Parts: sequence; structure tokens; C-alpha cells
Amino acid sequence: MTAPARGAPVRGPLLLHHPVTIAPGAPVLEVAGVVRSSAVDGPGNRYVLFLQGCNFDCTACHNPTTIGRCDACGACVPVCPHGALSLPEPGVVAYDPAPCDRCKLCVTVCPIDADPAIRVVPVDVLVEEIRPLARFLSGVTVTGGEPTIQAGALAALFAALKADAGLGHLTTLVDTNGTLPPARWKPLLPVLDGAMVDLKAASSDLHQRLTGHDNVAVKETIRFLSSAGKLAEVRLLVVEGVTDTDEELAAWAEFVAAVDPGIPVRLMAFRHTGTRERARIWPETSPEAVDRVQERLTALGLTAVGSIGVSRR
Amino acid sequence: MSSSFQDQVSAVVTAPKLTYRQRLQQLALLAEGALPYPKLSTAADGAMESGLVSDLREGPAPYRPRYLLPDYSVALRNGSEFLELEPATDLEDAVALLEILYHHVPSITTYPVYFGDLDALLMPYWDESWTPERLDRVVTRLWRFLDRTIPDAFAHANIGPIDNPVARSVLRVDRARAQVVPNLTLKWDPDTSTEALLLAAAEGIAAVNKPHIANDPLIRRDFPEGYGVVSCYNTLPLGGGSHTLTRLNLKVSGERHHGSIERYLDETLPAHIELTFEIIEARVRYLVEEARFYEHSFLVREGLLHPERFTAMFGIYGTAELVNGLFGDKRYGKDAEAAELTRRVIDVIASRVERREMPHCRNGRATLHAQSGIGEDVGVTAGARVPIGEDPELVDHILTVAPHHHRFASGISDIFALESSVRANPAAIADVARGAFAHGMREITFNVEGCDLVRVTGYMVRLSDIERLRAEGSRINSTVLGADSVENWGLLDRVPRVISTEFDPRLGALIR
Ligand code: SF4
Ligand code: SF4
Repeated sequence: MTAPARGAPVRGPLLLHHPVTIAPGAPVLEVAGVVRSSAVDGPGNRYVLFLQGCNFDCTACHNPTTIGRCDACGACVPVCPHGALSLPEPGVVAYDPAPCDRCKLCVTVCPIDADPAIRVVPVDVLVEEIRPLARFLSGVTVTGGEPTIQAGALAALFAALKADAGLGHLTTLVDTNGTLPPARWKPLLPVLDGAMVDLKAASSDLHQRLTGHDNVAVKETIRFLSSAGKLAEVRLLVVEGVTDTDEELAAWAEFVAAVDPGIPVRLMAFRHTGTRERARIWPETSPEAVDRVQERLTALGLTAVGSIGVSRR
Repeated sequence: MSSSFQDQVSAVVTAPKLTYRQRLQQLALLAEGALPYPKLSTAADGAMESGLVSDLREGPAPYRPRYLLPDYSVALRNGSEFLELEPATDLEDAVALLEILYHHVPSITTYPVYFGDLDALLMPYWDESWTPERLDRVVTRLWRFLDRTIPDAFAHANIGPIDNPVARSVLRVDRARAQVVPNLTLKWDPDTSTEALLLAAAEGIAAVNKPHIANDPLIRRDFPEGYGVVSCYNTLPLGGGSHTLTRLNLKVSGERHHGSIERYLDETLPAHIELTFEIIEARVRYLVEEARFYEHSFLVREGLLHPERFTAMFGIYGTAELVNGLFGDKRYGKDAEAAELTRRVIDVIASRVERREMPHCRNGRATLHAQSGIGEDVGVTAGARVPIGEDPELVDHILTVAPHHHRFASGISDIFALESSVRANPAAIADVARGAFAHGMREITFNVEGCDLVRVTGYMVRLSDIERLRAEGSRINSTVLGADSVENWGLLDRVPRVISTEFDPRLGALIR
């Protein structure tokens, strides 16, 4: 059930400055946030859309409040100090962005890491949000959460961009955990330029420990997207002593190289910012550790193209 | 001689941290400063006294134009009778000739502000036998020459808009050497420049915050005879320049006004504009009619400069403070009403500058310039910029300022701070520049967090130099200005967004 704010006015500083009514049946996306100008989400300057909801529950998640999808339990409604949340009818938690000051108190009490203060936005409204920025952009990257959970509306968004004369130059990328089965990727492919897939671990045990799931589906997605020519990059989150052991890196490289040694590989440094308490058992990743992994993977025949989240001066 | 004059001279002569050449410059300033100002009305005198209008310490008796943009190609082709030089025979000879010519080009700083469009100057001497490595060696030696003999970061080289081997070599060498001098501008034309050239420039910006990028088709509309970008984002006619830059402080203008916004636009502002015109005219007449620079310069006689291509720059600054002050509750950079009033203020000034006859000027007119400020301008925002610390998000910021850009024929600047993450993705810089030009920006400059070389208004300063400055003195004059700005504007606290200074010839930090 996607109760929050459906049908309610959508407006706010990030997305819209005026209310919007959602036509019945119109494709909508549950949007947790937007960055209008980003240099770290793919090539060039990009508009980045964070979608709500993820089917993994990774210990190291940097955006944990995008994991859950609200089930309208109502627990957060009384804690909102600004009256932005209400229960207009049973099973519906409504959110009004006008009084909301983004204090995020609501997400701290949510038992399932959901966020009631997200926007449910029709695809055509997002297209108009992107339009005035178009000439500053190389493209749009959709991340999250796990964007492919909303694959249907996502395909509608990308299709609308590709069909628009002023927006057709924008490349479309998704940042994904790779669990969507190939059959459900297929309708997205004609309007998708590339997917950046996280392979959190090559060994199934470690993957299970890190994400709560095995990696069979992820590996299948990587093979599938690569053969379809839509694999933009594979990403490895470097957690020192966990994902950078010799054995793990060898297995990771062996898998990726078997698919295609030319796949661009990007390393992500693990940071504490945004993570939950249980992630703090691990240290933040040092630049040296990232360099070591990069050298190792290159020696193992992979094409390392850079890293994200490394602080060097 | 008053004893205070003697004291000032003596302070310069005995200033241990000034080089010989710096002392000489200061002595010239003191001597010129001893002369009376050209005759002005009492009201115009008062305007200068009160800081409403300022000549940026150009001095009371101008004896050379503020900015000169010689067409060096004339001397490369014809040689020079005055300097007893033959025409250039090959690329290396052309570079050697340019080095000689630079020595003979004055400006307000005493050093040249324009080194020419280097690729257009040198490409006629290039052929397929020039490998990139060999070309880089020649450009590297030129870069070393410029930085070591012309210690002034207002001095500017231009390249583009056509992609060519010399432009590429300049970008490679400039990035590798990370020097303060020369400042560098890429002229960019979406129709004739290549994407690869823009990306090469973006890689330079990611590494050394250079080049500055100019919207070639837009500027060319104002200067069909050709133009150069010099000093702090000034766009001026090639083979000409600007006699003077005199600026109106709009913050002070607004503070002097009592009454409605409409009355400000109809009466107060036009009166202040007229006072500025009077001062500009007095300075231009002195330079042309009394000092008679243009009659005795070989650069004019031999066709590198044309007196009729000199304009006079009408500078404004403090637009944001004016608009915010007139409203009280609306802020420029945030509210649409403030943006609209800014547009109207600029329209009043620009249309008067476009109509007012100015003697000895190109087309008989001065040109409007958004002035970047000088080190001592505390609390007044440069040109038509959004105040530091109130900058909206990048794209909103560009869309706020871009609509004004086409009104400023002799240049306008906005500096955009970028996070260090763009260093791994220079294509993002190219995207923003392309978007800015599509929305009518005249010129764009970035300051990327984490570079040692940073932009203070239009010129470059090495942060590591500033740390050494007070202890040892600096080889480069503008470092001193940068040091003032760093202190007055908190530049080091806020590297991603840089400030406005133009220049302050006092070398104050070293004499004090
Ligand atoms: S506490 Fe969580 S699940 Fe419950 S209504 Fe609020 S956001 Fe939804
Ligand atoms: S963030 Fe949540 S708690 Fe805070 S004002 Fe908005 S809805 Fe209310």
C-alpha cells in the first residue's frame, strides 16, 4: 500500500511551487529527494532523483530513510511539530509540504525506516521540473532507494524525456542494486542509456551478511545488462577488512572479468555520514585503502575508472 | 614640497619588501598624485569626495589609457619601424617578437593587460611539422617569460573560438604550470568551437581554475571589429581599449535617495549617472587633449592601435545593496520583484550610456561595465552580482544574473563556486558553461574548491603565496591585492565563492 500523500497537493521548494492534482491512472513516482545539479552521479552535470523504497536492507546504507515504504501506521503523525502530517482517513497518512521544515523528526520514529514526507509526483510534473535545467545537463540519474521497484513509472519518465524535443539530449541512468529480473528490465531498456549496478560482494555468504540477500539475482542482472549493452558501470563499496580481502577481491574480479573485463568499475568509499548506528562497527574507508583496491582490481584485469566519496586534499 | 609628501616618498624609497620596480611604480603614483585633478563642477567634486563616484585611483593626470589591446598581428606581419624589427619569419620568431612588443605596451598597471589572441597570432606560422611536444616547449618558454617578467595577474591571454593546435598547447601548458600569469580566456562559440576544446578548457578549470570562458557570438555582436578579454573580465575592442574606468557606487546612490522607487529611477539615479559622465569626460579629455598619449605612441602610428577604437568604461557596482535597500524586504538573488527592479535599474543606466555622447570615444559613446570592486570595498557587492553568502543554487544563480549580461558591453563577471568533486568530472563544468551561454551569459568563471590557484575577482592568486607574502614580500603585484581581499572578504574561510576586487595600486600591505 502506498498511502502517503497520494492525491494530496504536491508542492515544495525542491520540486514544485504550486499544488498539483494527480489525474487518476497517471504514472507517479515516490520521490524522496532531488539534487538539481550533481557531478558525482555519472558523466557530466546531472539531475538526480532519489526514489523511495528499497528491497535490500544493507548495514552500510548511506540513505537509510529511503529504504522503507510507508505503511500508514500513523506513528509519526503526532511527532510532527509543524502539523505537516495528518490521518485524513484510515490507512492514509497525508503530508503537506507547505508547513514542513524538513526537521526529519518523523523519520526518526518510523519503525520501518520510511519517510512520510516524500512527494508522490506525476511523471509529467517531473518533466516540467527538469525542462528549465535541460541546457545545463548531460542527463538524469535516478537513484534511491532502489529505483527499479518503480520500474513502470520510471520507464514512463524516461520515455517522456526521450520523446521531448527539448529534453531528448539527456542521457538516462539508473543506480541499482541489480535485483530486478531481466523480464522486468526489458520494457525499460529502450529508454535507458545505462545502469550502474552495485555488486556488494562476490561471495554469496558475504553478500547475504551485507545486504540480507544472496547475490544470484544481482549477478544475473549484470550479465543481462552487459549483453544488452546497457551496463554503464559496476560499483564496489570498499569496507576495510570486509569487502577488500584478497580472497573477496579475487572472486569479485573473476566474476566481473568473466562477464566483460572492459566494464567500467567504480569504487565507493564507505563513510559514516547518513548511516545508522549498526554501520559504525566499520571504520570509514581511507584513500589508501581505495587506492590499494584500485591497484589490485587493475592487476586482476579490470577497468577501474575512479572512485566516489574519497576525501583527499 | 610638503613634508608629508617627502615622508610618503621616503616611505616608498626605504620600503624593504618592495622590489626596485615596485618602488619605481609607487614613486610615479606619488608624483602624479601631486598634480591637481581636471576641473570638475562642485557637484562632481563632491561625488568623488563622498565615494559616490570613483576613478579607482587611476590618478589625477592620466597619461596612458587604462587598458590597451594592441593588434599584435600587424607588427608580426609588417615588423616595426620604431623598434627596428623585421616581420616574423617563423613561429619561434613570432613569439620572440611578441615578447619584445609586450615590453612596450603600457596600461594602468604599467604592464600590458593583453597578450593577444595567441592562437590567432601564431597559427599563421604553424604547419604540420610542429609536433605537440615541440609546440609545448615553445609555449612553456613563453609562459615562463610572461610570469617572470610581467608580474601582474591582470595580464590576459586569449584563445579560441576555433579549435587549433596552438590553443590546445596553451591549455596543456597553462594547466601543467599552474602560474598566476598569464590570466587566460577561452572564447567559445557553440557553432564553431569543438566540444573537445570546451572539455579541454574544463579540465584546465578543474586543475587550476583557468581559463575564464567568454560567449564569443554575444560579445562579437558588440565588437564586430574583434575584441579581447583583459584584466577583470573586461571585453574591449581589439586594436583599441578603454581610456578610463570610472565607477558609480550604486549602494551609496541608493543611500542618498529619499522617496519612492519611481522617483529614484526618474530623478536620483539619472542625476548620479550624469555626475559619473562628467568625471569620465574630464578624464578622457585630459588623456587625449593634454597628455596626448595617442599622438606620440608608435603603437598608434604603426597601426597596432586606433584611437577611434578606444571607449571609456562606465562602471557600476553595489547593485545588490541598492536594490535590497530600496525594497527593505526583498532580496536580490531570492525574490522575483528584486530581479525585476535590478533589470529596470540596469536599463536606466545602460540606455543613458548608450545615448550620451562621449568625446574621443568609439562610436562617440562610453560602454557599461559591471565593476568587480577593489580590495577595500567592504560590504559592497561587485557589479551586478548576488552578495556572497546569499548565492542561490548554481542554476538559479545563473538564471538570476544571466538576463543582465547582454547590457554590459565592456564586461560583467559572476564567479561560480564548484565543489571539488567536479575535478573528477570536468564534463560537468562544460555542461554548466554551455547552459549558461544558452541562457545569455556573456562570460563565466568558476572557482573549484581545493585548487591552490584561486580567482579573486578576475585575477589569480596562489593561496600558498599569500601565506608567504607578509614575511617575504611578493614577486607578483596582484598577490598583495589578493592578500587584502583575503582579509577583507574572508576568502580563506570561503574558498568556493570568490570575491570582488579589482585593483589597488598602492601595494598597501607592503608599505604599511
Ligand atoms: S511511522 Fe513510518 S510507516 Fe508509520 S506512517 Fe510514519 S512514515 Fe509511514
Ligand atoms: S520533516 Fe517530518 S516531522 Fe519535520 S516538519 Fe516535515 S513532516 Fe513534520
